[in-house]
Amino acid sequence: MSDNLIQEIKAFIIESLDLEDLAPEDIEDDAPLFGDGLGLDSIDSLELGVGLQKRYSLKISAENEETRKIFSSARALADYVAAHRAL
Amino acid sequence: MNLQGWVAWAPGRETPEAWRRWALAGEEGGDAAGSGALAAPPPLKSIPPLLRRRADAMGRAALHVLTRPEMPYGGQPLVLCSRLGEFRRSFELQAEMAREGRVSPQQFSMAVHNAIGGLFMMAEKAHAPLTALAAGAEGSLAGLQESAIQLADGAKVVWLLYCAEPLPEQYHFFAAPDERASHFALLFAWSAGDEFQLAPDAHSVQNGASRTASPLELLSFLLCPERDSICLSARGNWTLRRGTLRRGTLRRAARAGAGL
Repeated sequence: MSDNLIQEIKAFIIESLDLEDLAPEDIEDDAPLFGDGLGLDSIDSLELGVGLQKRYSLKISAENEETRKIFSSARALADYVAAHRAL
Repeated sequence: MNLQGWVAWAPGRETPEAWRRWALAGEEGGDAAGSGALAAPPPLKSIPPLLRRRADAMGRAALHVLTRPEMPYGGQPLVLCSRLGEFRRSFELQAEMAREGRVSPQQFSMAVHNAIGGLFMMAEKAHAPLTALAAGAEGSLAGLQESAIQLADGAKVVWLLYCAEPLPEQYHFFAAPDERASHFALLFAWSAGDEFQLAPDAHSVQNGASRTASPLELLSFLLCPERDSICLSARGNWTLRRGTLRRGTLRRAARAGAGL
């Protein structure tokens, strides 16, 4: 998985969630997106879910036990997108 | 009620001096009503970025007046009064639903009338009572009545916020001309006292000389000490009057006598 995709995912997070004042380089690859890290909340996770469906045609089920892991960091989300997006 | 303080914002009218000039000139909206185009909202540096990103045009104006250093918040109850709220957001949600069959969860979560007050309370980490009112054409009156009720119930000071943003063009047909482009936030701090009296006014009912005042007209009245009263309800004839009950009663009696 390329660094380009991690950068793309960071830009996607910023754009999807209206994170004004933030640039992709402000988000660390492995820092938590929720809680103490970037400080996102549960509404943001829903927004990212809708955004992933629009941008990458990926549907993440709320019942998916992996969901917490997928959204744990920019790198984890990029890993998931790289492995599952339509080629 | 006593007016402890006020803060107001509209495009191009951001200082107390500018508002006083506007009130003394007798404008009823002026460029505070705007052209219909959205003005650049205040920057809101005192609200954490993760909270302020969720506020739109009206919300940013509201949060701006709520966080001015000249009137620091001290945990007072907040009455948020807006006829239509952040209506552009609701309209965009409907358009998105029609276009794509799904809506943004973030936008949907904010499409309730008390959302802006909620953002403010979260930013302040406050647990004060928050009341959100949408009272049609009589919003000015409803906000003052709610404030008076909370003061009578024991609150020392109540913050009353009126706010609006320009309506989407598709809804102009349903709105009064002065509501279509209004973009403002007005904040008043009220305490119990006898500077102003809010009551039904039987005298002006008899004269049929009343009309419902908008929040901007209410501010104009408050900034013009020589004005005696303002009618807040054409239906119920509620009036906000300067002076004590006794003084107001005597004045009305004097006028009634002169009319006989």
